[in-house]
Amino acid sequence: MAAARPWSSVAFRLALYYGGLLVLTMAIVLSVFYVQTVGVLGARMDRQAENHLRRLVEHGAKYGQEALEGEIRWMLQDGVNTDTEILMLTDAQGHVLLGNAAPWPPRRLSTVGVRDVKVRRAGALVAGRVAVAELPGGRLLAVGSDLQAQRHMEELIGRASLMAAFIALVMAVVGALVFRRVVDDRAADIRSTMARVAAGDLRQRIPVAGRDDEFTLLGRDINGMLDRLEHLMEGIRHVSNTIAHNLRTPLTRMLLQLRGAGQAPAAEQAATLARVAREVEELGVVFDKLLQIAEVESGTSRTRFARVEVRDLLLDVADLYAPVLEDSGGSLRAQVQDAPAALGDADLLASAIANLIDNAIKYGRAPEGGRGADIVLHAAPAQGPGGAPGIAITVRDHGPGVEPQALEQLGTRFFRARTDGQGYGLGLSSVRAIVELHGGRLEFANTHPGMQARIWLPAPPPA
Amino acid sequence: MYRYLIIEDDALNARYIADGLRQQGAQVAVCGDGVQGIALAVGEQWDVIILDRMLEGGFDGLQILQTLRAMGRQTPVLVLSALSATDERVRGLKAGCDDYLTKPFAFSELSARLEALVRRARIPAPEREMRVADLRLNLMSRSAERAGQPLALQPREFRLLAFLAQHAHQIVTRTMLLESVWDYRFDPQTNVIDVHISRLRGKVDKGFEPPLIHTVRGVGYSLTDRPQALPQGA
Repeated sequence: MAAARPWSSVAFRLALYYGGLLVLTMAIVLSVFYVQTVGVLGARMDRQAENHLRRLVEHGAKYGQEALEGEIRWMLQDGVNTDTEILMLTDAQGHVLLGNAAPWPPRRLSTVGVRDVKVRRAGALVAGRVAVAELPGGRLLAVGSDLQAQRHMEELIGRASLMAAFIALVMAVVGALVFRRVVDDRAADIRSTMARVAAGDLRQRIPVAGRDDEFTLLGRDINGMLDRLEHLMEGIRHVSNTIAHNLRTPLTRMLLQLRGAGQAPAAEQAATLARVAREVEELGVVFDKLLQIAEVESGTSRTRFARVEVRDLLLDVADLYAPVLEDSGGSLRAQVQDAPAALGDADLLASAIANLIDNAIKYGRAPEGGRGADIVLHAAPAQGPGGAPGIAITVRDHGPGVEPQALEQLGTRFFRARTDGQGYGLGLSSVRAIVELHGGRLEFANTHPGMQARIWLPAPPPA
Repeated sequence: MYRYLIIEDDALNARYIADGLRQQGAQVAVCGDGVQGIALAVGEQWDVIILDRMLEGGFDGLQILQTLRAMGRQTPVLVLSALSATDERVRGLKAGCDDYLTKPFAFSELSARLEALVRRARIPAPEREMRVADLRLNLMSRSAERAGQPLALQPREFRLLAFLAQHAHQIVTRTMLLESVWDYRFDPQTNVIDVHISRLRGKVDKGFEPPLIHTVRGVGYSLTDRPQALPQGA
């Protein structure tokens, strides 16, 4: 599954760019090296020429011109650098009196500093570098050497640099191809899995193993996304099934009633119509609840999350419900002074707590005596799974509780622990959806007496 | 006479609403088409425009609303929608609608909300003091008295009474109370509102004549000294 052309591969391009950068860096380093080396060599030659010249001039001044000429002659024959050195003694007009070379074209050399000069030596034209001094009588003395050695060195370094650049270029291209291959292989796993998922198999997962490199991390992220996707799809399937079941039943009932009303007397017809209207309204409520649960479960409302002062929120809900309980002879006690803040949607959280209290009112009456439920609403800081900081909110009643095997199923859509009262079995599943949206946990327990619903919510991240 | 414009592409639903409103003596125009709806909404004066979210041809009712508001028209708009998700509600309110009702709804709920919108638009900003018969509410000191005797109200009870007084002689539904007085957007299954009202009644009506807080069966409540003038639960 390699990319069709090398250029279309990101890995190839990146490796190549990187290789190019490397070659460029090398070229710059080599150029600097070259310039420096050549410069140092040149400076050394100049210094040497100046030293020789000064020595000869001093020699001539001390011992006379004869001695100087003798010294020059000796130097020309001493066998040290004989093939590279240049020595010229000329008269005032520039004719060579003594030496191994002559300026070309023949002229009188200028005496300023060390300079490049073309000379004719042993019949060949040679580039040289000489220091020149004027001697008494207008004669000129030039001392220096040809540039053969320098040129040779320059060539050597130049060739080496070219070779290095070429090798680097080849390495860059080969490296790019290899990188591309490696990345392609890693990407191929992901692509083949995604292709199967796209074809409808949501259970496929990208194999992740070994080091935590970018591809493993990417694979894990994608797997996480697929888990969520699968969960959502399952939810939708489940919901459609339950909706089909729970809505068709009342629809059938209504249809039968309407059909039957056709032949009934007028008074009965009116009663039937009123009953059907009420049933339709109830269906609307079920619909609303299902949609609300679906919306909460989709997780989109997380964008509205903000810091929620849980204490105020609970006091508010308690304030709403307390009169109901007091009027029925029960009570609602709120012990929420220590409640910390949470991150979430205040409206949804209030609705979840209200749902739990609604439930406690309906099912939480003490078995003996006909008075209303005694409910305790409690909230305090608590550690969640893995010791994470957070808040625990509990709603406890003093009723008969539920069957132990039903505890697990509380909060499943349309599940009802007791079928005697009213309700659709959606209240607790909306609570569960809201708690899960907030990254929290919902647990139920029999507390003998009574039952307790416990919501744990994670603490908001430090600001 | 109130003038309502209904922009709704479901003809049966539109006729049902229109008939109900006409029975209450209102003048109603119905329009099922988005483009024509804009023309009507802008071209004439209405007390309230009742706007469906999803119109024919993928036309979003909110576009009409936005056009209206962009032209600086402040006609109250009540949006009807089958989209009940909270996000959709927020979008509607952001676009500038004054109230939002999800389908299916009871006609009585719609009627009560329309009434509240019309009154809010017609009656200028809430006064410092409100009076209903011999009941007086001072919004500044947040105190109330009846027949000259001060009533000992909790803060929440005062808000509840103030909301009822703002809509005096109209019907307010339980949902409206829950939204406005408690700021909640969910439906408690328990009759919480009834209990709060009955407590309020104990303070406002007990020992006084005539009773001012009336229950409208199946719909809601009303604060009025002329209960016979209320439309009975439609």
